[in-house]
Amino acid sequence: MFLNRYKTFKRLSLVTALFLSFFAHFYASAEDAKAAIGDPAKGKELFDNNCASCHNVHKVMVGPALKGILERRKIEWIIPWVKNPAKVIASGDPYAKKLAADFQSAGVMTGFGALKDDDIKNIMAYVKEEETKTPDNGGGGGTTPKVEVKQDTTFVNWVLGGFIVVLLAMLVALLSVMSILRKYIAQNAASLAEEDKYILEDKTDWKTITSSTGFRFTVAFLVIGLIGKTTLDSLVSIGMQQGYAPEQPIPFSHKLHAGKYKIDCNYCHTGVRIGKHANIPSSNICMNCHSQIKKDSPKLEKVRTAYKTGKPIEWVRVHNLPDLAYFNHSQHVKVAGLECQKCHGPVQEMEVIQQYAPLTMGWCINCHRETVVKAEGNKYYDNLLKLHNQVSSDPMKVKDIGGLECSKCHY
Amino acid sequence: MKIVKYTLLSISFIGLVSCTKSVEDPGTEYAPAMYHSRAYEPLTQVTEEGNDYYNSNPNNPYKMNMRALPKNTIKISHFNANYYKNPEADLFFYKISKDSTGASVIATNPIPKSEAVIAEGKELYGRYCQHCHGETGKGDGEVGKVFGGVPNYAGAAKDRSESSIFYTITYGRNRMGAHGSQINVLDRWKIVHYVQTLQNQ
Ligand code: HEC
Ligand code: HEC
Ligand code: HEC
Ligand code: HEC
Ligand code: HEC
Ligand code: HEC
Repeated sequence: MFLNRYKTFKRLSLVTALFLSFFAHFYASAEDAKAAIGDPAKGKELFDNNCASCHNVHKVMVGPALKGILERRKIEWIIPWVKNPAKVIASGDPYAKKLAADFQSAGVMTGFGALKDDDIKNIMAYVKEEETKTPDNGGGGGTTPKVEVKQDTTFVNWVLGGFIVVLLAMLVALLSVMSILRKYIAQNAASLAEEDKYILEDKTDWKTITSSTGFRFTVAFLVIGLIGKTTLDSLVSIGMQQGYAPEQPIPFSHKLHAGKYKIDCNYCHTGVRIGKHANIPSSNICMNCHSQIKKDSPKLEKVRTAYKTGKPIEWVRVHNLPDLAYFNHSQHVKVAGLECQKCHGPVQEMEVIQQYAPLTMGWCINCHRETVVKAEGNKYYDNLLKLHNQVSSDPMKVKDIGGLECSKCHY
Repeated sequence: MKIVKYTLLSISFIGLVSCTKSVEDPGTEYAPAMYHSRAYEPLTQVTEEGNDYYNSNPNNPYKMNMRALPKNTIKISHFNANYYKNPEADLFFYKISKDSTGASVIATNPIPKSEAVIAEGKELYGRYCQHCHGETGKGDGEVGKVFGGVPNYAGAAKDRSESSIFYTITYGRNRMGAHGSQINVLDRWKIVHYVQTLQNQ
């Protein structure tokens, strides 16, 4: 038994030795290949993987632009720096200390202890090669993206207004042409054929028309109808807050965060899959990004104060069901798999958040009548589904499992 | 007489119409006491004394009606030895603190690796990390490009251990902020599984 083990080990060590010599050879030959500073192709890969998140050759990002670094610093300085910048700064090196002070807000550069000297030389070779190229201005880090805040409703309003003006002008033109024509015909009345004479006598008798019952009835009907409709509309919409979009204490834009930067709703509304409320993010969540992004913006002053002192930001609540109704997010979002947009509309396009749905009982009930329960893969529904399929050939909808029961929502 | 009648009518009409809401005003509510609760309720608070719907707690900082848990509270769902069969790993979370550095306390992932767990981790990663770290973990997410300094998992952060990744999610590291308040312990470990697949891609 032990003999067997010994043999395996011996074989193993032989193989290892073979590998070792092979690698050593490979290493040595690789060494002479790049006698000068290094191999820019390898350096590019290393740079992209390790440094590109903070450095660009031509422009300042998190760290300084690396253009001209080999003229500024010797490679003997760069290697220990990249491996452990904190140590170089602590050693009292004046250049490093000044650099650290200049980039204080970025924090100290991460150390790359795992990189070999040659790796760093390769990176520098790449930087050197890149220096000679013209900087590409497209995209890349530090640039501040421009945010569009154009409102297209004004455009629509202009078009509509233009239409109305054109139509009015046409009407006036037509009427004046008519009256000119009639005048002309009257001047040449003699030459008019007998059957066309009526044109001259064609006078509207406004008095008879206005005093007729039919006319009075129509007008009264229209006026009362209009008043009635407005009154009813406004009565119905009491307690309905669709379209409510109050100004918030911080001009927070969902269009920017959820739309342009594609931050997931769940990142901020952390309760949405675990509880009744979706929750409004606390200041520490904003600070995950705004510790670096726009960190001096006056618009974010309240966020910074809240983060420092714990004083909450007083957002204005938009959606608010009365206490008599119960609504649970996780049930709809996690269990039923509904998109937020189904109830909240295109939030990712909203500069200011607004209540999109009416949130009336009728709105809830309609959806419960139409929506098929997502039952597959959810054991809770297995028996319900079986029973439902015995009595009906329709797919199981929310109404079939008590979604219209008053006590589901009111208790 | 007639004039009085008509004025009254039109006044009441205007009165009724003016109940409608506008962009800045939620409008009249049928039963306001049903919308503004005097009992404590999440996400609403009236702090001015004398208001009919005053529902603040003067004993809490800023009169908030919620409070942070006392220090060192252990949430029961975080300690569920039967599920993991590994209480050591269960309590790992409580052994690390903001001051320990990532790898200084070692723990193994209490959730066994499987296709399903990695798929779940991927979904969670998409929600909480992707906008910075990018879909494939290269640090090229939409926000990551503006934020700067997001490492490539397969590059600079390749050999981070699982407990170090867990620590990074929980307490943050250098420029990255803490995400412990957003993601529960189990989900964090699932994300760790997925990040490890990105490290080794
Ligand atoms: C987390 C961001 C970050 C990463 C990643 C990073 N650096 Fe840096 N680097 C900095 C910062 C910030 C400075 C400025 C000094 C300071 O504050 O520490 C700097 C400074 C430098 C300097 C000195 C520049 C000068 O003008 O003198 C060199 C050289 C350098 N970095 C090389 C590298 C290399 C090579 C890599 C990749 C292996 C790398 N850095 C990765 C942030 C980073
Ligand atoms: C960066 C964080 C963040 C992201 C991402 C985010 N939100 Fe919000 N959301 C907030 C904040 C902060 C508020 C409160 C301020 C406000 O009303 O504008 C809010 C408010 C809301 C409200 C109104 C709450 C109320 O008062 O009734 C809804 C609805 C909403 N968000 C839905 C979404 C949806 C849907 C998404 C995904 C498309 C999303 N949010 C993404 C931070 C975020
Ligand atoms: C995941 C990253 C992220 C999070 C979390 C985040 N933001 Fe932002 N925020 C951004 C980005 C990116 C910008 C755009 C910066 C730019 O235009 O350069 C921005 C811009 C803003 C602006 C406009 C700043 C200005 O000066 O133009 C405000 C206000 C803002 N955010 C508020 C918030 C609030 C409040 C929260 C917390 C609920 C929050 N943000 C959370 C990434 C984030
Ligand atoms: C089935 C419809 C529905 C879906 C789907 C839905 N919501 Fe809601 N949401 C509501 C209703 C109704 C309210 C009002 C709740 C209240 O006042 O108690 C609300 C309120 C909110 C609020 C205000 C704060 C709160 O928690 O009461 C936020 C934020 C929010 N939703 C975000 C989301 C996000 C993010 C999603 C997607 C992940 C989502 N909602 C999906 C119906 C929905
Ligand atoms: C799917 C959920 C749901 C079910 C089922 C439901 N309701 Fe409602 N109900 C609501 C919601 C939400 C509101 C609040 C509407 C609002 O704020 O305008 C409401 C409001 C009401 C109101 C107050 C009227 C108002 O507009 O303020 C009454 C009364 C009511 N429901 C009775 C019932 C009765 C009776 C049943 C059973 C036949 C029932 N509800 C079933 C969701 C439901
Ligand atoms: C706001 C942008 C942002 C978000 C969101 C984010 N990270 Fe990071 N992450 C960073 C930055 C920046 C770094 C570099 C930290 C540094 O300077 O060392 C980093 C570093 C890391 C590291 C390497 C840490 C090390 O030891 O060097 C890991 C692992 C990591 N993040 C995992 C995650 C996971 C998992 C998530 C999702 C839960 C996440 N991150 C969300 C920005 C972010």
